[in-house]
Amino acid sequence: MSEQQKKSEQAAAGKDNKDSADKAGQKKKDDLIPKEEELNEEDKQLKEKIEICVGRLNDPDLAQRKHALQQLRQEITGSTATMTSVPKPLKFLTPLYPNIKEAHANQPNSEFKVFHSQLIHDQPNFSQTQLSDLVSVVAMVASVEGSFESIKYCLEGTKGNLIEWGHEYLRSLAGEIGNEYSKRIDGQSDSRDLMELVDVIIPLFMKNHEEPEAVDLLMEVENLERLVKFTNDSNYERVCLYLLSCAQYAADPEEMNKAYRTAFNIYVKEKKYPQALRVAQKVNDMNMIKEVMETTKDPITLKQLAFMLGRQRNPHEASNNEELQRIISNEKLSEHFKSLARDLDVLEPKHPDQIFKTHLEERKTNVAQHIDSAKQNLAATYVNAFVNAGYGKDLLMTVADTKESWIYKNKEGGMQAAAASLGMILLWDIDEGFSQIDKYTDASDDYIVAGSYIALGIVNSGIKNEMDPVFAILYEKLESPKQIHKIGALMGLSIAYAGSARADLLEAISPIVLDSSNTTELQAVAALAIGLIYTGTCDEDAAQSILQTLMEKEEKDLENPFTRVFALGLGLLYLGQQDLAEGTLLATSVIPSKQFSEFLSLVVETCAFAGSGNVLKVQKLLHLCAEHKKEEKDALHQIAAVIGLALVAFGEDIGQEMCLRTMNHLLQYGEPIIKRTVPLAIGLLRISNPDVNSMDLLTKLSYDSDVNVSMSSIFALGLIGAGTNNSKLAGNLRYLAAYYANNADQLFVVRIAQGLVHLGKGLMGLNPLHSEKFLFSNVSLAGLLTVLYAATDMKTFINGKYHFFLYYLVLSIYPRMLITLNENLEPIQTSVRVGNAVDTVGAAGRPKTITGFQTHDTPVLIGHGERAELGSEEYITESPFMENFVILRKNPDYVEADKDKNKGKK
Amino acid sequence: MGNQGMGGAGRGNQQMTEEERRRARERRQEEQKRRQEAAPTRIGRKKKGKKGIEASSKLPQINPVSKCRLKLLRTERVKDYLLLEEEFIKNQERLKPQEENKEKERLKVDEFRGTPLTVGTLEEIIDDEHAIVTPHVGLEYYVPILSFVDKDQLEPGCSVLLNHRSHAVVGILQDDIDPMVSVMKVEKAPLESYSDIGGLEAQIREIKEAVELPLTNPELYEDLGIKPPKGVILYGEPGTGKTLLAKAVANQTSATFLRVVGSELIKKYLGEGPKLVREIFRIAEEHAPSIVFIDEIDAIGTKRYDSSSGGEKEVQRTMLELLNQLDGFDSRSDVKVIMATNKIESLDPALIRPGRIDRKIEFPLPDEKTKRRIFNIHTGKMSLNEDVSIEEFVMSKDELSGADIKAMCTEAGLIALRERRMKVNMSDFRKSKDKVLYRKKGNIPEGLYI
Repeated sequence: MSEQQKKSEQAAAGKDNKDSADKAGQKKKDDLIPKEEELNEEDKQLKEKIEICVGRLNDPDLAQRKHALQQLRQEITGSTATMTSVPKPLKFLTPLYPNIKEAHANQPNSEFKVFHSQLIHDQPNFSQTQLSDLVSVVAMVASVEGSFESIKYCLEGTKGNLIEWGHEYLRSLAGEIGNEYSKRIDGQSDSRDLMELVDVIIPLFMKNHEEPEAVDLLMEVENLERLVKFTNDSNYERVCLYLLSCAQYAADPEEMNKAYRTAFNIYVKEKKYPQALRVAQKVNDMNMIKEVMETTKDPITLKQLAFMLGRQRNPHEASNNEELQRIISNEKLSEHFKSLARDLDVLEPKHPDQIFKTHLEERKTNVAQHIDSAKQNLAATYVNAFVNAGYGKDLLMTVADTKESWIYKNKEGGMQAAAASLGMILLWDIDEGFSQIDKYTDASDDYIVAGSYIALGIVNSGIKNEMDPVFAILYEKLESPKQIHKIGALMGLSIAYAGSARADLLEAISPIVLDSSNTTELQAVAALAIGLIYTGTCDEDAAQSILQTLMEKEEKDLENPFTRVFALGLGLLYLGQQDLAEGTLLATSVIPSKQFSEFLSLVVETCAFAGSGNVLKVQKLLHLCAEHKKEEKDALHQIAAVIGLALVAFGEDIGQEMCLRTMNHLLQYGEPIIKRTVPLAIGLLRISNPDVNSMDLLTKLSYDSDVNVSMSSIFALGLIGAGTNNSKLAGNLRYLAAYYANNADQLFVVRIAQGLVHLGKGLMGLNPLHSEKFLFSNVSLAGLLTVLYAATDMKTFINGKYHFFLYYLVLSIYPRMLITLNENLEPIQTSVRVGNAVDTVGAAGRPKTITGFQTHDTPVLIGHGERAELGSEEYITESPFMENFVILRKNPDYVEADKDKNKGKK
Repeated sequence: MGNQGMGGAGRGNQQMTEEERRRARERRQEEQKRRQEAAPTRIGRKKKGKKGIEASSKLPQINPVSKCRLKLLRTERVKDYLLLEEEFIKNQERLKPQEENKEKERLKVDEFRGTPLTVGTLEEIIDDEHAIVTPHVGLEYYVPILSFVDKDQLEPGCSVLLNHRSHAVVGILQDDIDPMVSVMKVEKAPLESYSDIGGLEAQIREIKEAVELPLTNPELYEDLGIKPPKGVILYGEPGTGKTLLAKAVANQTSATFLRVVGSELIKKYLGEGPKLVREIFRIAEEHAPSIVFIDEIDAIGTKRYDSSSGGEKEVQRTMLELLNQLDGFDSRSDVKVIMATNKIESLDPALIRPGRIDRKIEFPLPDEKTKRRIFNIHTGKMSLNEDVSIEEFVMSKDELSGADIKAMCTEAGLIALRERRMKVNMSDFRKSKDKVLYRKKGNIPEGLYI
């Protein structure tokens, strides 16, 4: 920063008569050309005056000196006529700089020190310190670059009234403080005097609406803690906004934590608890969350906080307050979602055919229709599940018992998927869900039973219930002799309790992982279940059980596609925990198969650095992607590297954009295995955000001659459009459906993508980022990752027997809604403006936070990159982040506009 | 001889094309057996602006604009990624040189294209592979489009490169820039600098604030939360230094400087004038940051009125295009406009409304102080007799513009020369002043020089 600032100073200085950037060149020029010729009369006078004053600074008479200094001060501070060039007095002082310095050095030192102590500012006395101020100001323009003379003299000066020299002086001073500080740190000398100066400067910055400068300065001198005492209710917002944005780019976790903590403290000090909680959630520190919850006294604010906790799925126990606990456990989610659907008039269930719109597909006459009805039915099941998710009603599964239920129109895996789809349709609705699913849990067909287990888990996804019904039912099913039941139960449990870190589940599941008599498939699903339940906890025991199993595996077994699920299970344990994964990373090297251990360590590492934007990791991953292996078998780790790239860059805008660029290069140079994975990575980067460029790219790739590239591109198309109802995307997919009409596999993926685009009839999204893209939910990201890794091997998972891995997506499904509630948590209608969010960090004044807005009545849908704000002054929001559930209070100062008018008329 | 050789080569290419095409057809048929339909190509979706690959290689925008650590951090993040990309690509190129491949492909494409190429207009696109083109006026051909032609960019009416024999479409010609515009770019800076301007300090400051500073230090405006002015108009009596100031700006700035005279924008054919205006601003944007200087704007910028003359209408249309470019739908932030006129009252009010031209800088006749400086500038390089005292002229009440003063000095010099003196004395100046003033005021209408 300091360099930048210097430049700005220079630029300002450079805008002298000759407006050139090169200051040195300019100086020379000035010296060469005799100045007198250009000067007009006034300037000449001024120059003479200044020269005389400088001469007098050496006068033996104290009064004379005093007077001369006074004159100079006046000249400098009074010259405000121009903004494009260095003020004239300063310009004329520049060549006299050595003289002034000399005068300063010649001042009789000791006698004035006493004098100084009695100094009062508004009655300036002559002293060396005062002269120091002047020298410091002149040094800003005149001293040689890098000499830090300005700061040196400033430290000797009065340190009062710095502002009167103008803001440029302050900025240049701030820049030099930073440099001086780092120099002193290197030299290990004391910097207390610097801190004193900092304390003088910061309030000045704050007063002048230059909060970014203030924060910058404190960061430079590594003293952010001080910031808290300088904030007040008028500037905390800008300070914190800036601080939080900077924190993302911090060089090390320690610095990042410090920034977050400072912001947290400021928010708590200003009693802005929702904002404080958000920061606490970002740091993922349970103690901080607890602190906020305990200091908040207002019951309504507490409810708002509870909603925020529920969205992020933080396992916080609000002891002794049942109402809060109910909010945190998302019990009313289904009810609210249905009322949202009612308001938006989309309750009517949709048949998959309404999504496919086959009548719009251009079909050649000689296409063989109905290539594989089982596969088509399966696709219909999934599409039906995605489209009608959460509505409780559909046209296939929940229709009144006719003789031929949809479930029995399927075979084997299809039945399982159909049974599980019931869970999707009844998503979040526990009571209804259990009563409807119950009849299938005792069905004669094993597949249906397994499917119903999954359904039970899905219904309970993200919802906590005191009765804990899922646990009660599925726990004992883990003992079931049939593998398919076990897998179903494991999936159900992992979906229902993802992120809960329940010890009793670990106890029950880890034997399954460890038991080597189980098939790899079962073990893998169990490992994944552990990973999901213990997401981001770094639990030792959980990690041990997975690692140990992997170590016991023989090299041959490690080629099984399910081993990647194993790896993911391990990786999820460390999701977002950065350096904490190091121990495990070391342990992975013990695994016999070299390529698998490489893959495993990459999965763990990239999961650990998810969302960190760590450039070093990106570099490492790119190196790996640059390799060209002869055999595809050896390149397994490149899958993890490509997805890892997206994962590391995830969540931070600039990194995300740049990562997309990198993906283009990977496509250009990469081996086939990389090309297959790149679309999935793009899908992650642009999840639920169908931007035109990515869509075009993926559409192009979806016609690729490599089957795997095309399938993963189609799937990625579904991901980027998930829950948006994007009509262009839907049109593209219809093209694809016609194009691949004869390819069962591709067609199936196209269908799934179509279902995803219409997820929840466009009311839901898959984006793990929420709260204005500040937070991401670990559980949600974990679910998404699971499906992505499954999609790297379409043959086994999505197109194979294990298509039901798609149901892991339920972890990331959340309505993209804004519902306004009153103090009693009843939905109320009010007008809000919804528009594109604008990055207002560090912008001057009160910039608009949204552009191109439209006014709607709540409840409304919020798309990617959109933000909402209240349309009228009638209410005050509890939380400034208008997403999900927001509690509104009546504005006591609000006067209805109409009434005003009437009064006027009377 | 050379021609024959060329012809032979052409024929060879032709055969290869034939053969290639046959092979391609076979391949296509196989493909079609496998699939009923080819991937849908979208023709004629000529993209405005930069999209597709170019847009994806665009760097993300960095907020905030003002100077602070956050901006530095974000910019550095972008830089880090770019370095990684560079490293990656370098490695890849080393492992798997693409240059050679590209060279080979290039050669192959050139082979297909054949030499010499002809230029034609695309009339209609029939299907993915065929189109109707007119190589000459009156002739129309139904020809194939070769596969390497970017069909996204094809649209009816565009210029295409044709194989000279088969007339197959082998390439697309981009719209190119009117050579007129490139002439307007000031390559050699004029010699006049700010120091050659006597007085006009306020005007210099204003023009610097409005034109140069936003280009060099945009963050100053951002910090304050204001939008910098888009342009300025310089107006005032003839000879008061409007063009001189613009020259000084051109001399000082490192931005691209385009100069146009209003009358240049008037063209013989309909639509040419507005097109030229568009082109000027496009160039300006391409070379941004840039300054467009339009001298004598009253040539096209006069008030609109009902006119039956087609020429008049065309001039007005040119101005309307200028209006749109100044403050139209898409805003250009780093193109600044300077206009100069001496008849500001006759300009169309829409042209000089705030938002288009935010600052109106008046150039008054010089006052005494300024006159003295102008005299000093001009007489500074002359050899003067001791008796010369310019105070007399400075104090006189005659309305002297800067140009008048210059003329006076030159005239005085000429008189001295005529009298075989190498020094100019006071009487020369007096005579020359009378001459200049006589010419200016005399029986000739004001504002006209002989």
